[in-house]
Amino acid sequence: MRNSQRNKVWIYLSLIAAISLDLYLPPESVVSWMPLFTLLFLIYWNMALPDKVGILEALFFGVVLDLSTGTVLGLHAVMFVLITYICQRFFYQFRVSPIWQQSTILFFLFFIFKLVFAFDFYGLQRDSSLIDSSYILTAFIFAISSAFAWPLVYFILRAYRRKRMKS
Amino acid sequence: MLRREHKVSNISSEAIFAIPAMKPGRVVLAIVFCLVLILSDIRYETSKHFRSYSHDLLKPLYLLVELPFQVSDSIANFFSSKKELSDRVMSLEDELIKLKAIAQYIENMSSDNAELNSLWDAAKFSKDNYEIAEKYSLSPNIFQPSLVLKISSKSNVQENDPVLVETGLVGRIRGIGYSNAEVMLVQDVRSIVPVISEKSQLQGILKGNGLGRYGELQYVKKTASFKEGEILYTSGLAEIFPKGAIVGRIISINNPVDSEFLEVKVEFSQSPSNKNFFLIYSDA
Repeated sequence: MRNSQRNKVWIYLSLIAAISLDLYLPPESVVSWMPLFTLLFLIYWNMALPDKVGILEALFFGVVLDLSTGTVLGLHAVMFVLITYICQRFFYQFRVSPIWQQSTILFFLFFIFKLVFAFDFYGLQRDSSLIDSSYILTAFIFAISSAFAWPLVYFILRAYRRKRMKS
Repeated sequence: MLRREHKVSNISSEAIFAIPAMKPGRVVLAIVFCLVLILSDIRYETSKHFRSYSHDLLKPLYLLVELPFQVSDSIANFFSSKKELSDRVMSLEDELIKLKAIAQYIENMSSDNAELNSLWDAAKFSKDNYEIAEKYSLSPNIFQPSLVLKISSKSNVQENDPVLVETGLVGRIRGIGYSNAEVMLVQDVRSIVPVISEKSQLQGILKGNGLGRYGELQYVKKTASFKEGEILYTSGLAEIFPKGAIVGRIISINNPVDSEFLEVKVEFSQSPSNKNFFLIYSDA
């Protein structure tokens, strides 16, 4: 197997591990504000190796999350595709910024990401949104926890990449 | 190489050279594809047909995560001389859950024992109608939480079968895979359950508002005499849920000026978060 293909396999394995973390590991009492590791991992790989990860990976892992979490089919996928595009478009700027700045940017990104899931797709409410103060608080805590998880994900994946991947 | 042509990042210590930008055409195509998926799912519920099978495909991941816990459990059991006893206790606990589930109907019936029809309905509740299913996963989705239960491939479970615990109604089966069943919880924003109140005996439609949130009785006229603290049972009107299962308790009744209906908040009697075993009621 060529190095490039082997590297892709390691990336996919890390994303599969992230999906397992998201779906089965967190205790249910904290599950609504646990960081979404699949997205954090995807963002990392988009920044670190933008030529190895792209739209197809975002689409595939998004659909898998949609099917397994019960959300509207395609919602995670479209968000992952958009975030992948943003990451790839601005990865020059993002990569060279300090880690606290990266965390701050991710805080806003994850906050908006969470709010999108409160849109009333089925037209159940009069005001087409299910957002209330408690949901905003949940989204805020989710964004905070994701922003704090970023340095951890960053250093773990960097060590993983250096150990496993050959250029 | 010119100056500023070579930057070193924190993420990757490798040089950032010109990596070809993502083609906007592919992004647009992917977004259009996702929008088609979203619209078809909202309009025709396309995902309903294969969502449960996707849980079957993800089963190896679940087993992978569960493996360390199972290994530690089996080691603990190996060194425990009480294993057989614990098995016996577990089977008795299963039996107890079934009996408690049946008891809730009896409790309800005792409150309106004048209604002989209810008593007649109760005669059909036997332990054989219940199947115990273990929890597989509960999705981190607040508004459309998806509970996945393990069932055997020979199980008689069908779509729309009610799912209960000893404290009340949990939801109904939404989709069935090879070895799992997906449950739409009563807390789901798409869920509506016909209910009847304990004391005032008024009918209503209970709508979910998301996991960890209060449900709401819909279209309750301002003249209705619901009382705070009243327990709500399934009324059996839609013939999906059996009559008399506890659903929740009224916790607040507000009279908004700008609405022609009362705002009745309901606390669900159970949460799937802290349960591992569920009962699937099958009338077949």
